[in-house]
Order: sequence, then structure tokens, then C-alpha cells
Amino acid sequence: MTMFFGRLAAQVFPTVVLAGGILAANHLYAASFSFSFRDVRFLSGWELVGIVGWLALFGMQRRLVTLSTLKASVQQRVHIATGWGAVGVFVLHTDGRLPQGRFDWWLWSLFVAVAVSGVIGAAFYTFLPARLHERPHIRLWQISRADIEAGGDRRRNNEMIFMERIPFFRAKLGRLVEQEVMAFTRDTGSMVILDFYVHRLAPFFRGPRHMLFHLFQSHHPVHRISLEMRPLERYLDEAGRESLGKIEKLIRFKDHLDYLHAHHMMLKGWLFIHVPLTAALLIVSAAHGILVHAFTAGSP
Amino acid sequence: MRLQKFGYRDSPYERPTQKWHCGQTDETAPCRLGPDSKGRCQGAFQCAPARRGERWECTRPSTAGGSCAPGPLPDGRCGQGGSFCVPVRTWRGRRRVLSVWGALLTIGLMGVFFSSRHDLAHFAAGDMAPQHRMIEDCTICHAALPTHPAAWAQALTHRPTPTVAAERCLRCHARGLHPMTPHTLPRARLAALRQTPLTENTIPAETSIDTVACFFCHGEHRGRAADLRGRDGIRCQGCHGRWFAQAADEHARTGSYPVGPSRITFNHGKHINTVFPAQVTDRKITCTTCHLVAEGSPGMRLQRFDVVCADCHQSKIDGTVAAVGGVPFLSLPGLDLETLRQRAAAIGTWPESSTARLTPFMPWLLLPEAAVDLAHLDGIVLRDLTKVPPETIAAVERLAWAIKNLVQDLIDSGDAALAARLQAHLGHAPERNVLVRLMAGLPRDVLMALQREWLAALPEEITRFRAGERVVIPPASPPPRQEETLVPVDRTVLSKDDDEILPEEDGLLSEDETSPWTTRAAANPGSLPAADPGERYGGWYRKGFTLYYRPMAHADPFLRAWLEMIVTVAPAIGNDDNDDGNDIASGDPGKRCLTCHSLQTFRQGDEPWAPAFRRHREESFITFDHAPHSLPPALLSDEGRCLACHPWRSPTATAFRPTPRQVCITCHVEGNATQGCTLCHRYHAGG
Repeated sequence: MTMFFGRLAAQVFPTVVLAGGILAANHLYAASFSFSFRDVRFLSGWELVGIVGWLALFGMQRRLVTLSTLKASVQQRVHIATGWGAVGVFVLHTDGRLPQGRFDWWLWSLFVAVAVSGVIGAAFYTFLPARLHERPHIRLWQISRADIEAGGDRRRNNEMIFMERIPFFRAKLGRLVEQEVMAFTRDTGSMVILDFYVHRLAPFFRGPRHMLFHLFQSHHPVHRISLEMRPLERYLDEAGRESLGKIEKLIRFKDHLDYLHAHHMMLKGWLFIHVPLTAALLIVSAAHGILVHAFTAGSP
Repeated sequence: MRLQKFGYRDSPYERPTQKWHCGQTDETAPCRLGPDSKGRCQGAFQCAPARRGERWECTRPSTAGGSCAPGPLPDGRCGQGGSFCVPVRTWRGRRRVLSVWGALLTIGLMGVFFSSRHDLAHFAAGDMAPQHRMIEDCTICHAALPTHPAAWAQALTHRPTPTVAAERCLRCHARGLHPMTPHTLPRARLAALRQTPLTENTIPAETSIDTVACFFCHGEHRGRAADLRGRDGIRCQGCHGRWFAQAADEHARTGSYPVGPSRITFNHGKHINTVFPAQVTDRKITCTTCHLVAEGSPGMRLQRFDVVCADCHQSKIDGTVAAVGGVPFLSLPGLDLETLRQRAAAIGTWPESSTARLTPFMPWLLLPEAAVDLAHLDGIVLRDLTKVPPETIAAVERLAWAIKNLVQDLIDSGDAALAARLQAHLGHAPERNVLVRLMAGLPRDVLMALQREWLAALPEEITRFRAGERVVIPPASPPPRQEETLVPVDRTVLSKDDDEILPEEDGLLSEDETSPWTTRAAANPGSLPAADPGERYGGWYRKGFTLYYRPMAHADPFLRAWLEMIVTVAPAIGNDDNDDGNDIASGDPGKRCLTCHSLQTFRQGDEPWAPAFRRHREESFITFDHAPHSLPPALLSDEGRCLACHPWRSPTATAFRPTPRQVCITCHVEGNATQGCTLCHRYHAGG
């Protein structure tokens, strides 16, 4: 619990400081701005253009030489804090009221959608990475039939499995299970494990499974498979039960891969909403700027 | 935490930031090269051999088994055939595709949106205020709106000035002669204001703002419930560099407010302390007897004349008492005919017994050429011309014929003759409805009777005069008898000061409970001499050699029309007791209109009969709405409540002292009442 609040504070504090700074600067300047005949919404509007443009270039910022000296986590916190600042300036820009015109409703909806998806993504980045380390990590890269037979301790290696390698590992585990099953069947002539593999295990190893269960950190699916394997032991000899144990270990490896896949999907999947909406937001914002200047003729 | 080790010996090189990755990733081991940037498979070979000198060397990495034994082919191609695949997009690549499609979809929707330009309401920032809901054409207000949406981007660099944009507002909303200047005031007055140190915290900042467009304060498209009046007041600080957050602590002194020039010259002290002390003591007369809270208007409303003033002042206005009589309109002034005969002046027939004087209307009734003669004769006693020079005799001669021409023209042409003369004076003909009021239905019969009795030979003499013949004065004859039939007026009964017609004795005041106003006429109708029969019925009548008009009632159209016309061309009316306006308004022998109405503050375009302070209020930066401050009638009738804001200067003073600021900040303090600028100040002081 202490670590949880520590992580939370580490995320929230710089966000509050940076976003508060943006809003304070806006407030001070807007105060002097509104004392004149100029429309303060022009100020906040151009501020939004700058801030949203800066946020939209986040991917490029990470590749810039000058900024790449900062840690990725620092850049990410700056991005989140700036995003909160943009939300504050947006509230000032709209006077905290709902839009009136149809076009403005479009723009408003896009901004809110981008902001909400950003908040959700920030929450994912705050809490999900820690989950990736909560389960024992398995040195899957070195998984091999020999490793399984050796039964070495695989918890000592903290090797991280990142998203792009999961399909390869999953295929590799599938092949290992298939080899084990075929070897047992060929050696003993028993069809017990083969039948179970064909009807139950093959679909399980074919792709990612049980995403929602993993997101809720439930072990129910893998426990159910284990329970389904118990009745098979009555029809197997010692070698068969040993082979079944190896297969069960591979099932747990696969389950862990699914766990990682589910969380990586969440960490990457929200960007499939956030980024395209941001592109749409930039386009509609540009049109909004043109409209504002065309229809508020004469206003500074 | 230690991440997965990367290195050419430990792991293949992943490229998650590229668009494509090997299609065999999900099945077997992905190829080492992976797809190219366009998504084409490069898995035909296991390496790309490198040439070193004359030889080709295998570059297959150790993670893929190291250099192969056969090595590259002689032509430099890899000797180990690879496996082909259909590359798939990386997560990043898929996201990029989705973003591109999202952008294209947005642009497409935008195109549809913008192409429907027949309904520009799509682009409106919001509904218009109810006052503008009837406007359907956007170009009525948006002056430089390009015809096609594609051209709207021009507005980023070429936008009309605020003046051009705001001129559209002025098509419907008239704001005086200087609608774009700050406070809609003339620039000369603005310059004077800028140089006037009002107080230390209301001095306008050194600003160069010369143009203030309407929409700076009156924003549109803010919804149906938006307030178009721009009452937040924060814009004021654009020039008045300081925000008075606390009216109680920081606001300037209230100065002389609300004491200012008044259109009603009412002596409060005299009426309360001298005329009606008993009624005031008995609370039959209070402030609210005359001053009423005007619903829907910021100012107080004065009670009607016929309710509070008529009992005392009506008889003086309509001339029902002989001391007042009618207003002299046209006369044949008394001339020294004997001298004129001796000096061979040719003015034809002229009444010997006339003692009349030129009326105040005569300069306007005669043609402008006569003005020279009138100016020449000013101060000369026309009944005694024995010692005047010949040019004066000539001026008298021309004046006499000008009067005769006037009488004959009025008989012949009626109001057309008057219109022609006024056009000569004013430069334009009076409007028909004004002309009707200026004539007050003067009957032709009256004029003809007047001519028969005063100038019996006028038609013949005018014909001869206009033919260029000298018409000499006939021998003396007895004066007409009808002049003596009227009762001479005893002008010593009342003084010219109208207030003195009111009795000072308390006993003369009525005890009538239904009306606090008691008049001398009502209490004792016979105490003033009644008008003679010729004056009794109002309208036109003759007396001596003067044609009189007796007003019918208060706000008589005839007097109003003449005064309004005169003050239009002579704004300084009332400054000089001898000017025409005063003479007409008063009407010899007593004052009528100007007893209570002041025309001294008249300005062109004003309504001269507006209630007190109206002109002052229109030009002032200050406004005060009595309605929110009004108390329940029971309390408002207590004059003490009024005197809290309008304290007496002294018991006998005619007016009140300025309202002290302390009175305002009793309520207008933080947390109690609002303190915005426009709560008490008007922006449009100039119009």
C-alpha cells in the first residue's frame, strides 16, 4: 500500500506542479488581457493551439536528440502534466460551459474524448507497469525442452517480455506442448493426453486467451484447466503423469504470457483511440481557428 | 530491475518502431532482416554478404547460427535460401494507419460540413440573443464574410477593422454622431476629459484607444439567455487602468451627484416651508406626492401637472384671471402719426389711438428684411418720433408696410403666408403638423374683422403700395370705439413673480382631506379678478390693436410649438430675459412657461420639456436606478428615507446637497451588494 501511494504521489505531484504553473501563468496573463478590449478567448485559444501541438508531438519529442537525454518516464510525466494544463486552459477557454454551436460541439467532443482517453492512458501508465512485475518472471527466451526437463528455477531472472515477442513465445510454447504430446502418444500409444490436447489445449495455445480475467488478476482459467487435467491422471502411468506435469507447466507459462499480453494490450491499445482522435482534433482545431478569425471580424 | 538483455549475442534486434515486422513472428522464428520500410518481405536470404577485398563474406549473426560454411555465392548473393512471409504491420504501424484514416475521415466530414454553406448556422458559436433572433442572413452582421468557405482562411491575414465590422451594428442601432469613439463622445470632449484630473483613481490611463467597437462589450452568439448589454464592466479597465474591486475603499468621491441642471425650476424650500408648511407637518404632502418611482425606468417620475400643480398654477397659464390674460400675437404698434405726417411719411391709414407695442412674435411674423428696421428701432419710443433722424422715419415707414403686408398675406394665404415667412427665417419650411400648431387655428374671419376695424382701407392701400405708389397718411380721425369697450386690466393686483400669487396666509389653504393641494382660487374664487369676457373662452381674441391668443391649458400646443421652433434655432434661449423665447413663453404681463420650465440648458436635439435632470442624465456617466432601491410604499412615503440620500442643504434652500458616498457604501460592500462599474455608470454618455 505504501508503494502504491508512493507511485501515486510520484505521478501526481509533478503533474500538479506543472499543470498548476501553466494555469497560473494563464490566469495572470489573462487578467491583464481581459482588462483591455481584447477577447481573452483569443489568448486561451492560441495557448491551447500551442499546448495541444506540443502534446501531439510527444512521439517526436522522444526521438529528438536534445530531449532524449531525459528519461522516458520524465518525458511521460511532462506530457501528462502538460495535458492537465491543457484541460485547465480548455476550461478557461470555454468558460466552463457547454458549447452552443454544432461545429463547436464537434470540437468540444473531440477535445474531451482526447482528454478522457489521455486520463485513462495516464492511469494505465501509473498502475499497469507495476502489475507486470507482480508475477514471477520467467526466462521464456531460453525455454526449451531441456529447460523444462531440467526443471530449473526460473524465478531468478527478471527478464521482461515485451509485446512484440509474445507471439513468438506463444508459438514456441505451442510447439513444445505439441512435441510433448506427440512424443508421449508415440511412445505409449495412449490417446488420453492427445485427446485432451486436441479438444482443450490446442485452442488455448493458439492465441491469447482470457484477457478480462487477467486484467482482473484472476487465476480462474488456468485453475480450471488444471482441474480438468486431474481426472486424466487415473488413466496414465507414471511416465504419463510426468508428461502431464510438464504440459501443465507449459500451460502456466502460456497463462503468464496471456497475462502480459493483456496488460501490454491495455498499455498500447488506448493509444489507438488517443492518437487518431488527436489527429482529428488538430484538424478540427485548425478549422475552428479559421472560422473564429473569419466570423469575429475586427476582434483582436 | 534488469530488463531483458539486448545484444547481438543474446537476442535478435526488435524494431517495434518500424511499420512492419516479419509475418513469421507468430509462427516460427522471425527472419533476421525483417520486411523493408514498404512492407516487402526480405526473407529470401539469411544474410546480406559483405564484400571484403575480392571476397564475399557471410554476415549471418551468431544468433542465427553464425557464418555459414558454404559462404556466399560468387556473385555476392547469400547461398542460404530464406523463408518467405507476408509481413504484418507493427502496433505502431497499425496505429499510424488508423490515425491517417481518422484524419482523412475528419477532413471528409469537414468537407461535407463546409460544403453546406447555405446553412451557416452550423458554424455559429451559439444561438443569438432574442433581440437578434430574427436575423437570418449572416452577412448582415459579418461584413467581410467571404462568399466561399475556402476563402475564409483569408481572414487570418486580412480581417476588417473593428470600425468596419461595427458599422453593421449601427445600421440598426443609432448611437449619436460619434458612435465609435470612447463613450460615444466627441473627440474634443474626450480630450478635455483626459486632461481633467477627476480624482486620483479615476484618471483615464494614457491610452491611445480612439475606436471602441460595439462588440468589444456586446458579444453575440452566447446563447439565448446571454445578456447583450455587456454589464460585466471588466472592459472598463481597458482604459481606466484600475479595477475597483472594492467600491467601499477604492471608489472615487461621488462629487456633486446628483445635483445638476434641472429642467424644472422648483423651489422646494419655499413650497415646503412657506406655501404648504401645515400639509408637510401633517404629512399630507411628502416627497412621494410629487416624485414617483418609475416602473421600468431608472429615474424617478414626476407627478403630472394636473395632479399636483394645476390647482395653483392652472389659472395663470390659461389666463382665466385678468392679471394674466392672453399672449399678444399680432399688433399694430402705436405710432407718432402727427410727426409722421409732418415728415411726409407714407404709411397709409394707421390707427391714431393705438398704444400697442410690438409683440414678441412680430420678428418671426415679418419678413427677415424687417429685422434690420426692428433692430434700428430697438429702444426708440414709436409714440414719440419728434426728434428721430430721417432714417428712423424711413425705418418706421418700412415697418408699417411690413405689418400691413403681413395682415394682408395672412388674409389672402393663411398659414402659407406664415410658412413662407418662417422658411425665410429658419431656412426650411416648418412641417405641416408644426405649422398647424403654430397657427393654432387662427380663423380668417378674425383676421378679416381685424382688418375691417383696424385697417379698413388696407386692400386698396396695399394694391397702391405694391404698384409703387406712395400712400400718404390721411388726415386725423377719431379712434375706433370698440377699443374702449374692454375693461382695462388692473396690472397692480399681482406682481410679475408668479410665486407671489400664492397666499402666504395659512388661512387661505383648504382643509380638504382628499387633496393636499389647496389653491387660492379654490378657497376663494372671488379673490382674483376674473378675465374680461373677450378673454374668458380661450383661443383668439382682440383687445385694443393687439391680437391675443389665450392658452387652453398646461402644455398648450401653440406655445409649445413656438418655443420649440425658436429654441431650435436659438439654443441660448432663456439666457437673456429680453430674447424672443422668454417673451413668447412669458407673454406679457406674466410669466407662464418659464416660471417652472427652464430652457437655459437646451441643446439642439433635446426635448425642451423633458423632466428634471433628463439632459443631465443623458450626458452623465452616472446612472441610478431608483427601483432596486425603492422601499415599500409605507416607508418610501417617509421623507426621511429620501433625505438619507438627498439631504437638505438648508431649510430654505431651493435644492439638496449631493449624495454622500457613505450612503452608497452602506450597502455596496463586499458580500452584500454588487459593485460592478456599469451598475452605476453609463458607458454611452454621448448618445
